[in-house]
Amino acid sequence: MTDDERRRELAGAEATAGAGDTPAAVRLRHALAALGEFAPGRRGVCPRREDLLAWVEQSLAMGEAERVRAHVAGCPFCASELADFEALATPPWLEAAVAVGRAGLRLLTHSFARSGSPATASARGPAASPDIELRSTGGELELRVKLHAAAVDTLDLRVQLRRAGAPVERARVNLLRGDTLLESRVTATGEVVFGDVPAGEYNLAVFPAEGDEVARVAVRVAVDEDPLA
Amino acid sequence: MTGSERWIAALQRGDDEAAAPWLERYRAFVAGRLQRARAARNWFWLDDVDDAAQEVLVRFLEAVHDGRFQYRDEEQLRGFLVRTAWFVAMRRKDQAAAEQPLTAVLGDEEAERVLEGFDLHAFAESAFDTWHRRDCLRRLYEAVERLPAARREVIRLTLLGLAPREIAPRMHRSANAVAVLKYHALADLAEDLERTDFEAVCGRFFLGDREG
Repeated sequence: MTDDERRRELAGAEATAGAGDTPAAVRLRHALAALGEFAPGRRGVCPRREDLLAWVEQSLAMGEAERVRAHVAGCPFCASELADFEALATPPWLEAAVAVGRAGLRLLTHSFARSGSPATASARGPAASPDIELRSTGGELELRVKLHAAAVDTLDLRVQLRRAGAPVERARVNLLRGDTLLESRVTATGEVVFGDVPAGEYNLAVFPAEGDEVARVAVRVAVDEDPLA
Repeated sequence: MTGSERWIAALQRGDDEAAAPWLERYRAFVAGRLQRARAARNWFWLDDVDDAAQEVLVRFLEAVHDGRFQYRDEEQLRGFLVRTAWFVAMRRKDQAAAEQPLTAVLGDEEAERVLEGFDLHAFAESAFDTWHRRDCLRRLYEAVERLPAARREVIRLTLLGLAPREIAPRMHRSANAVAVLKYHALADLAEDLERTDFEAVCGRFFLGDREG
């Protein structure tokens, strides 16, 4: 048999053609079927996703938990799915939704990291006011996001960074919509301002002069249809 | 009654209109989380975030209507939405995996780690299921490990979902050479499995194209 014939035989087996196959192609197909059945990424021998979650959330009985732990240690595919869950479950450092309208700004929802160092945060802004301030500190770093109603449907976004009380200079702050970079600025006297930001969903990513992103803030701005509601 | 208690109670009464503005707010929450995870984890297969967020909300509404979701607090509500978003996203990942190399649905770095370090033996040992499937997996992987090195590598990468043309650059051979190598590896493997009675024990795991 030439190599060309072997390749044709393999292609035939992989295409799972119908009748008229040579016995060799049928054998190849069986081997392929067995491999396909037990391909790791098919998760055929993995815990159910419900069990993976229950393990993460520590609601499995001890023996079960140990089995899942041992599996995840050897299975890159389950580990990857758990990392996917982590990415979904981890809130941004600070996440806030505001509505802007004639009466000013209203803070709709906000959430903060449940654990880890950037734990304290405060939000100010009663029913409606021209300004809302969000603050979060992690270690020595303090981040303030000040929102100011610029018009009935836009706002100014002021980001201030301090380390141990002193303004952080030359830090880069990126304003993104989803993954798309809209504007990038560098702090002067510890702050940057993005003016006249229209309604939408934004991410603010904060980088020090050198090094990785230190904070990501999600801000959703909605237009308040009825500010008196 | 908090705001969320009120709108979820409205949903339970079937007053979807009263709940609509709130649903929009949580739709934005879900879409935001999906968007962020998509960027952080290279979920190229999640091409329509809004559609996925919509599916999450539909499932949430079903859970409320069926009484499977009872509001306790904000954190529990968000937790439910996040879990549901994960199931929705993972199902879409499954669909992508059915059409692409398994490794393509992982991020680049992660795929590289898997390709370099995937250990058949360790994986077989950690298999999680009935003893029967686990036993078959172990038999199959043992047969793979008995193959000569180059043939074993082709099968290892095939198990991870790679086609010969994707295996070729990793093994510094032409795609044609890899196909021939794969032919020999599969022939060896089939012979080994027949000799060791794999089919008798695990035959039902063959995709039934054998007579009957």
